[in-house]
Amino acid sequence: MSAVLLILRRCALRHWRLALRQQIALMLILALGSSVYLAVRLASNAALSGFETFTDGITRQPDWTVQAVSGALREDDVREMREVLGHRPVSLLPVVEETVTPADEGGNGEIGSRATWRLLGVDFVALLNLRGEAPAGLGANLQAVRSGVYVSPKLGVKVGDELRLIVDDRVITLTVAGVVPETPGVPSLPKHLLLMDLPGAQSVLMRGDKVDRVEVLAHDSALFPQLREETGESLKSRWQVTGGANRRQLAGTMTQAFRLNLTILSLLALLVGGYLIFQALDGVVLRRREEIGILKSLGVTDRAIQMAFLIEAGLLGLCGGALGVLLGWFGAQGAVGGVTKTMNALYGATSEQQAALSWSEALLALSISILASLIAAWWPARMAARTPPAQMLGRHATPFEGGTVWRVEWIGWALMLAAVLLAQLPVLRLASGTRLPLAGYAAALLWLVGAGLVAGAMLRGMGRMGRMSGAVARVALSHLRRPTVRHRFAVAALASAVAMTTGMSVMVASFDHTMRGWIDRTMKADIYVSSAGAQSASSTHLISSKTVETLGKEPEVAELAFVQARTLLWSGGEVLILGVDPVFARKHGLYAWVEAPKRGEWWKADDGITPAIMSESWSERFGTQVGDVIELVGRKVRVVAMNAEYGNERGSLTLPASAFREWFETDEAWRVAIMLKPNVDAEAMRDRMQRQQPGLSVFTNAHLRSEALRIFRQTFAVTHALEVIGVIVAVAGLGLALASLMLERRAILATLRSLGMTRRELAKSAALEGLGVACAGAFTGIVAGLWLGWLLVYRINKQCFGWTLQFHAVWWHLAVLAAAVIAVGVLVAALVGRWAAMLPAEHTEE
Amino acid sequence: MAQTTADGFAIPQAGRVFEFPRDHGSHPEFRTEWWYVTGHLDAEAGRRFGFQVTFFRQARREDGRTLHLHLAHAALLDAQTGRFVHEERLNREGWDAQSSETTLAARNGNWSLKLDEATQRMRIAATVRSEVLLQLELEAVKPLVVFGKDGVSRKGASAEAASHYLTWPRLKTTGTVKVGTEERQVSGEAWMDHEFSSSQLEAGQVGWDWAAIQLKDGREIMVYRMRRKDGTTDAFSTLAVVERDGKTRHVASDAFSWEVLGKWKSPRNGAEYPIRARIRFEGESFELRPLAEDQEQDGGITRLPYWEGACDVLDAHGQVAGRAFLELAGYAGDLAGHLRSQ
Repeated sequence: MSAVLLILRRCALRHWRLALRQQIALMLILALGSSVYLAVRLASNAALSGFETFTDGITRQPDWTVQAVSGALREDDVREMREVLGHRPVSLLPVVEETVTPADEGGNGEIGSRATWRLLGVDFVALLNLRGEAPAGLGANLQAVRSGVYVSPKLGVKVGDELRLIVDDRVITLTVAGVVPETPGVPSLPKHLLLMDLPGAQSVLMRGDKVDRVEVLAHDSALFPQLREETGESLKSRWQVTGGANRRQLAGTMTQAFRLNLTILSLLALLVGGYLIFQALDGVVLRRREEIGILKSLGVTDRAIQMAFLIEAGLLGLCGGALGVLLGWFGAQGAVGGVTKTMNALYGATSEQQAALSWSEALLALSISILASLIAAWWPARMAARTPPAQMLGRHATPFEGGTVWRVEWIGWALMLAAVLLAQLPVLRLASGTRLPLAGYAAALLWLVGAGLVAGAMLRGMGRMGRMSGAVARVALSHLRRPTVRHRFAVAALASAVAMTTGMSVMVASFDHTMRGWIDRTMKADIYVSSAGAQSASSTHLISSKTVETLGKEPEVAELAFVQARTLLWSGGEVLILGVDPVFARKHGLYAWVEAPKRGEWWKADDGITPAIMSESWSERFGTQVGDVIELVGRKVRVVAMNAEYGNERGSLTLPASAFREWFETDEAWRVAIMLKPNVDAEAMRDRMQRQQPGLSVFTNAHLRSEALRIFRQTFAVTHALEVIGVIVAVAGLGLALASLMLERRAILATLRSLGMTRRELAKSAALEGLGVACAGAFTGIVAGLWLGWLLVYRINKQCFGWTLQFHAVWWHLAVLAAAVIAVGVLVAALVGRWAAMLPAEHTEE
Repeated sequence: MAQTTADGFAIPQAGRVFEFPRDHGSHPEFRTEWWYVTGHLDAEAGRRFGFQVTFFRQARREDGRTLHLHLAHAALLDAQTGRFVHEERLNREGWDAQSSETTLAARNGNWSLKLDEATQRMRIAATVRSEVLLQLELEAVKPLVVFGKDGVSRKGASAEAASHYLTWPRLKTTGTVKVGTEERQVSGEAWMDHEFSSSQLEAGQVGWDWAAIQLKDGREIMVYRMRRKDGTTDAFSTLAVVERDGKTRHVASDAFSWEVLGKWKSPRNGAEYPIRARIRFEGESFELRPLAEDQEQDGGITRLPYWEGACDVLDAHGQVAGRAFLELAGYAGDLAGHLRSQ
């Protein structure tokens, strides 16, 4: 061990000091890899935590959340719960909760741009029983709090201030009755949570005597050791009961696909980064080969040398990882807004949270950095240890040709074949309808690695193409005809990055193309209306039947139809139940059928079983087929058709309006579609409606279409950033690989100079060599990326979201990508060539 | 005499004819009502417990509507260890607390008191701080008593300061007491008051001392003294004796005495409670000696602490003549102010 430490101190540290810039660059590379991973992870966790039950801000996390099978809960339900629970010491907290939007923050017209707050109504009197578990002071003066609202000090308002808020289609004004101070050890209110006493909240939300849910606190004790479990089991007989961390879990389930995509993408970026780290460490070994040779001659064992390199790599990983944690945290702060916004638009109201760094996340990022560094260093360290001293010290050392695995191209083909086979495997189905396309992701990974290996073959092809050229080209291409492992690595990294970018580009283009077609088919009304508080696809804000009636009475309105909606827990997951006017929908051809109903008037039932249309996501999620009879809120439903619905990935079931109204006892609308009379100016009409109904969001057809597309594009905004990082890393890898090659060839370069080649010619030769590698990488990457795109569109996306997309590639995008990669590759290679041409024959530290 | 208070709550009226089981239930037309069960339980190996399970209903006018709040207290004293466990609970009427208007059925969270009309037995179920579970069945061994004159128990000079005061003075009690993992069969005797009124204290009164004494000779004594701000006992204090045959006679306030023998100071709020007392009347003398000093309900929610504890009753010779529950209210917090603000 002392030899190892000696090597570290005398060699490694000395090199670190002498080549500080290079070491910093290496650390930055490691930091970049781990920080991307960490930033994505933190941002998505932060966005997800916005989904947590907001009651967590009032009491400790509830053990169970009880909801009605359909509709709301009433006082009788709580009495029944008490009957069921008997003498068990359980706290039951009835809660109403609704998203509200500040009326004075108009947003910029984009869906999701207006702030979404939460209004929580909870019984302040009952909270008094939870001493030490709820903020103090609530309910102290019931008279004062009846119609007032309690807020967090973070909101920056004071007692007596008025808050104008949009609820459903109304603008209400609430007076701040109190600012709840933060007390150590007691849950504090989140910034955007408004708290009201239950009767007051029921009144402003017009809920009558109903509540949305009952939160259950059940402490296990010696007296009732199984209280929590017993309570859950007892209540499940009659109500929908979800567990303690259920909301987060449910939100986690809902957004799993989205988050998984991000994580996998960041891991793929890390894979490309891994190539880079390898190349950089390989270069380190190369520059120190004389020293290694001397040490070996002096009797230092191979094992000690290998260990010293690995420890050095580990230290680099540690420093890079620490830097990565810092960069990742900063990155997360920037990314959290975007990720939250996307999640909000796709999955429902979540409040923007700060991306908090936990020890576990920091350790994970550090471990990834250290592990990546060790894996990347393992092979160069092994080579350093195994190469005989004579070869290390020899001025005309044989160029290093690398491990056999990277030289056997059939392994690449085999990996690609394995990827194709894996892609045929079905999705992994988890509880509550969550689908995990594990085989699909594994196929993507194998395909990328395989394509990287195969890209080496392309290098030889490039080398043969240049037989007719002059001396400079011949020198350059001779290297490509017998590519070293460094060439292979460089081209593999480039091919993987380009393949990843191409695959993503294809997926986004397919999405865009399919969405446009779907929007054309389904969005035919002139004006669409929703609550101004509805800032997401799954918002529960509704429009009263009175408002709908008022809208319908406008003289310019030719036809009006509305969609009703209700979210339900079904088979352990949240689903959307819609009620539509089927005659209107049919008349205007509003459905994009995946499987059309057998009869035109699909809503007519012969056997008393209610007919319904399921979305593709529903079918994918629950395995339901057209023709199946399923049970919903105690009633039988026959699925008669399947439609394409890109509005949500949870799955929706559409009922005829009459059945919906009967089941859910409501005539409130979720979305309203209006057809205007001929020659009516939709924009002017929109403006007028908006003025008359400040609680509503009114969209013209054109605006809503652009918004729908914007939201979907926003979903992929993060992926674009990752693609760019991937390509930058790969091109940087090309530069590093060429630099290592030049260092290795410095004796040859000296010979070529003495034979009369100018420095300019040497640089040109290096640029040509880089061109070859870039072309091979770009070409292989684009071809491999097209299949990756197919995999993402037809397998992973379908399995994750249940949406069928049409394959669509924007060829000019791919051409620009290839051209950019090649151009930047050549530029980097030329710069390296210029630098190498000035290298002295003897090695000196840079 | 006025039928209602200024804010419209009913005032107890003399000559009221009680109908049961209806009058065991809730009377929302009155401002305040309680069902107050206290008792003594014996288990194997000489283990002894004192328990209290009480349900209160208090109404107030708010924006023209009446809001009923349900307060409840539960407590258990383990006489052997002196450990006193208690809990206070407050709920709005409706979601998690109710009291029936047709029979005796009061509930507050998981605490309940119900009368089984078929068997005329009452059942109590209550937990205390997730440490104690009481499951008791109570059966009257003496008939229901209506205290006061013509069915009205006066508390002060004002006509409003009065209540309808119904009591089961001796209830045979059986059931189980579970403390932690240890469950014990218990039996004993309990006392239950059901009282409803619209004003408990009048101006100048600050609290009351009350005792329910069950003597071994088969008699029971209910005694209370209304304390005035100046330290004197209000003339509307009273002592009532329930004879062996169930007949009740009242002793005027100047015909009995309440002598304080010892005090205990609460370490939580500094209140000094006169927890040892001697009551003398008609040549008889009974000393109330608490089984433990600290039997204070700390009023965590209402901020109205009071002392309510199990006592032994000693006769003039120092012999145990019975058991009692002693209540000392208005020694901490502003009880009068609180009751006025209702």
